[in-house]
Amino acid sequence: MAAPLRLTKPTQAVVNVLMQSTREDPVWGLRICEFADLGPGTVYPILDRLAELGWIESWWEAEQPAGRPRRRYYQLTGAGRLEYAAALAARNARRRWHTFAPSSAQGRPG
Amino acid sequence: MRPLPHYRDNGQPFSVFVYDIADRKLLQARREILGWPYTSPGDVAVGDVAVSRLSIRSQFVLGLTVLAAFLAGPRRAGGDDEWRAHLAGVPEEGRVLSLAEQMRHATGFLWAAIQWRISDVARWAGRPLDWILSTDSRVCSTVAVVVTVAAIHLVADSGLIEIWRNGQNLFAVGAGTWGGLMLLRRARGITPVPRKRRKAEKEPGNQ
Repeated sequence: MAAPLRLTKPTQAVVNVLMQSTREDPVWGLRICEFADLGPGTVYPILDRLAELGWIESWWEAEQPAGRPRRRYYQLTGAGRLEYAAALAARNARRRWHTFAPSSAQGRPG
Repeated sequence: MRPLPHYRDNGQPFSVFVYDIADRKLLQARREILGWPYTSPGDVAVGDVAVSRLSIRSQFVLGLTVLAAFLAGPRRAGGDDEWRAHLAGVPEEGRVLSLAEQMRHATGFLWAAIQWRISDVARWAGRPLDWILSTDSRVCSTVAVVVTVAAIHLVADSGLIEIWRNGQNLFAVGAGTWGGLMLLRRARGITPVPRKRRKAEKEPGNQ
C-alpha cells in the first residue's frame, strides 16, 4: 500500500521539470538536477517514488552513443499529470483553509 | 611510461581492489567509466583494465559511484548505468562535469542509495502497523489492549479502586491511542476495507 506523495518543494520542482519536457526533448538525471536546482541525493529518490506511484515512465536511450554511456530518460505519464494537478489543487485548498484571509476586513469604506 | 604515484607496490590502484570485490558487471562499469572521459595519451594498462592517470579524487568519485550502486541493491538495477551517464555530463553541448561537481554528484548518489535502503527497512518494519491499520476492528482491538494493559498496571500498583479514580486517565489513554492510530492511517494512506467487502472477498466463489 503506497503512502500518499507529499508535495514538498523539491518534489514540485522535479515534477515541473518533467512537465516541461517532451518526448522529443526528454530529460535525464543530470538535466533534472540542473533544471530543478537540486542534488542527485534529492532527485533520484523522488524519481523512484514517482515511478512507484506510476506518475512517470522511463526508457533507455535506444542506441549506444559514441563517447558516453546511454541515458535513462524520464517523462510524466498522462495519469501522473492528472494526479499531480489534483494533488496540487487539494493542497492549495487545504492551505486556503488553514491560512487566515483578511480580505473580508480589507477595502471596507470608513 | 612512468608509474603512477598513487599505485600500490603490485601495480594496482586502490580502485582495482575496490572493484575486484564487486561483481563483474561493476568491473565492466569501471572499465567503461575509465574509457570515457578520463583516457589520455598517457594511459597505462593494469591487467585487462585500461587505467588512465586518475587522481586520487577521481578514483574516489568512481569508488563512491560503485559503492552507491552496490548499496542501492538489485531493485534499482539501472542505478550504476544511469549514474555513469549522469557523470558523463552533456558532451554534445561541451558540458563536462568538473572533478568537484563529479565528487558532489557521486556523494548525492550515495545519499540516494542510503535513503532507498532506509525506506526499504521502514517499509518492512511498517508492515505489522499497516496490518493493524487496515481494518477498524484491529484498530479498536489495539485500543482495547492498550487500555486493558494500563488498567492492569493500575490495579497491580494500587488496587481495584484506582480504576474508578483514574477513569478519566484511562479514557484519555484510549482516546489518545485511537487518535494516534487514525493519524498514522492518514499519513500512510491506508483506507480501511469495509467488513462486508472483506467477507465477500473471502468467499471462494468471489476470488
